[in-house]
Amino acid sequence: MPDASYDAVIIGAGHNGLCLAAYLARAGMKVGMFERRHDEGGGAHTDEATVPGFWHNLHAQYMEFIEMMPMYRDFDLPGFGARMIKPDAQVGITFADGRPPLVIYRPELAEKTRKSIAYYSPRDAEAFDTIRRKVLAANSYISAMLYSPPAYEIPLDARTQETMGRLLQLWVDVGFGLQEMNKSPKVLIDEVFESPEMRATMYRQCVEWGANLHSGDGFGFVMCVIWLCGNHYLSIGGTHTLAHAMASAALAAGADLRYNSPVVEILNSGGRATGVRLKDGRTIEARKLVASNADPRTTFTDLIGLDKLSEFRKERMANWRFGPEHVLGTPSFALRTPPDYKSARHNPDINKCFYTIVGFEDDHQVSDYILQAYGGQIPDRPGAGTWVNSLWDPSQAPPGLHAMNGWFFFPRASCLSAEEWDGVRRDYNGKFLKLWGEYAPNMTRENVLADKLYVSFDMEKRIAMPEGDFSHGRLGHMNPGIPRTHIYRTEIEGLYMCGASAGGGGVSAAGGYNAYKVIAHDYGLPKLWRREDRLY
Amino acid sequence: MPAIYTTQWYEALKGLLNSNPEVDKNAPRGTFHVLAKINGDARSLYLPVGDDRNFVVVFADGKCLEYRQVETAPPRKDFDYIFEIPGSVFEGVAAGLIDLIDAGLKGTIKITGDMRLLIKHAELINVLYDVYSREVETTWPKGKPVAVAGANPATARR
Repeated sequence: MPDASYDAVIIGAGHNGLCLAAYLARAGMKVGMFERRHDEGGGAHTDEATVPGFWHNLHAQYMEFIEMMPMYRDFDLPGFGARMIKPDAQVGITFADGRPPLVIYRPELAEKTRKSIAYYSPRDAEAFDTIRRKVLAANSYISAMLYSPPAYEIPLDARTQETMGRLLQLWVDVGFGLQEMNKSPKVLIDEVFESPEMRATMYRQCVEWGANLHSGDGFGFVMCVIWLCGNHYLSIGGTHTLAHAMASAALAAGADLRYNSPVVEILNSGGRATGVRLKDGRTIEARKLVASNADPRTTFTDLIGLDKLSEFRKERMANWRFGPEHVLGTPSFALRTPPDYKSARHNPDINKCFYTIVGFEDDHQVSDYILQAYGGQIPDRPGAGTWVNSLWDPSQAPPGLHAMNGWFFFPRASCLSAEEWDGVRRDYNGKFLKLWGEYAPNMTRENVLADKLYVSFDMEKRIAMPEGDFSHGRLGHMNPGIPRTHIYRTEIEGLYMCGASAGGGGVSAAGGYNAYKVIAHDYGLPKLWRREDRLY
Repeated sequence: MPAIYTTQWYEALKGLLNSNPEVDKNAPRGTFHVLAKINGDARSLYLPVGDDRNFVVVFADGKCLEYRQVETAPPRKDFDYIFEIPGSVFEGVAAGLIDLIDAGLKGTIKITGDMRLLIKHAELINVLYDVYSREVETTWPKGKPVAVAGANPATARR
């Protein structure tokens, strides 16, 4: 006899698992979520990493999908405590020699963006403004691409077909041809923008998004990076507040959530997933389905077992790769005063920019930096993306003090030994602080109450991101005879994937939302996503 | 016409590298110790899962001074570069179906080492690759790999 029984069992309560649980529960299923940690959210994770009272986001920093995320509205997440701020100055880069910063503002302040970019190149200002305006005008279609499972998972409907047509039209409208689709973001950025300052900003934004700067695709850069650049929201209280709201919504819809309940096995009977076994020995029955918010390696290799996998899955797992693109280290600093940049004498907005790029003087330095990380090395120049959220949200630090979070890009966890990572934890923040001081002279050791660095190795252990890869890895090369099927629906009856490897990016909850669409198709559940005001 | 994974084939590669004037002129100066790990995988016709090959290769000023196959890989810290390549990918590269640089950048080939240097010399690798395609006629006793998707043209990259 199982210890508990549900229609649907969800492994992991990351934001995608929470999203799927909420929709399944609303559709009438009895849902149980089993989370290994004491807290939900996965990468939407906030902690008092440095000193009590200073709240630091250990992974997700900015919420770029708030305006599109279906769950945010369908479940009234503000009603469950989610609150957002959209700072005016969104993305900025500052320079050690004190020359003017380049600042990209929210789209409503396009003229300010244009002026800032135009200081370095009027041509770049015009190009960015034109592309962003056109891309934002197609916002609902790009969102539909994100929030729809691929055509081989559920049949293409007329709306999806229309979406694909519109996106191709958009690509042509912004002035690109088919050959540009295959160009790497770096090649495309270099063709579109001429100033080293703008290129450096775009390179870093591209890298933040997780696109491979040197070998990704230009289409993705334009459709994702330029689309989202300037649409960043700050989650009041830290990113975990959004996760808590999602959990509350799922619970209110009727789902169960059990903490400290690591799943150690997916149970199979007659080729169908029938439940899970927990670490403490309890078995949980899944009368209809199991959905995994965990990465594919954990799901298939660890929880099912290599010897029980089909030849298709063995082949896919052998061809699954983690990194090198999506691997982060996150520095956290508890500060007495926020950074006061030399560049602020030209534009004080850089001191109140939500996301500030620090440590790069030009595009070449960004390119070199990321190449080192891709090659398994700790970048020599410790440039970072930085957020000082307490500038807007005083709840994230004690009165008058400030909490900073950052992103370094690091090699995969396995590239360094445990001892080598210890060395990085010990030294790298100090190296960064020294460089930071060249840009903002008040960033001295005396200004720092405490600091902490989480490296890729920690991301793997704490947030279950294998190798530190926040996208849970992806397929390597593909054979034409082996189609890219089974992203959400697996080849095992009743087993679905809903985590970061399946789809989305950022805290979009697209993985969970799209998994619901596939499951609804398979089990005849209501099409809860259908709304007159939404294409997806 | 040497067959893939034979001593003759490795020698043909070494000869190609060591006699190429472009390499002589443009290769990075200095000595580089390289570990190449070709790992058997389910898709390879030649190296099944568990049949892993480790090669220690020493380059000096672009010349291959020595290469040797070793049973167990030496400590990683002994090397300037480590390439970990699934067998099927190695064969895809050898068959001209996968872009070597692209596969390295995307992590299909796991590279540990200074990627900046590799990117800087990417064109040289492309040149060598063209020469290899023309001058080394690899034979495939168990069949040649078929077209592999993801074989992106090198031209638009980097």
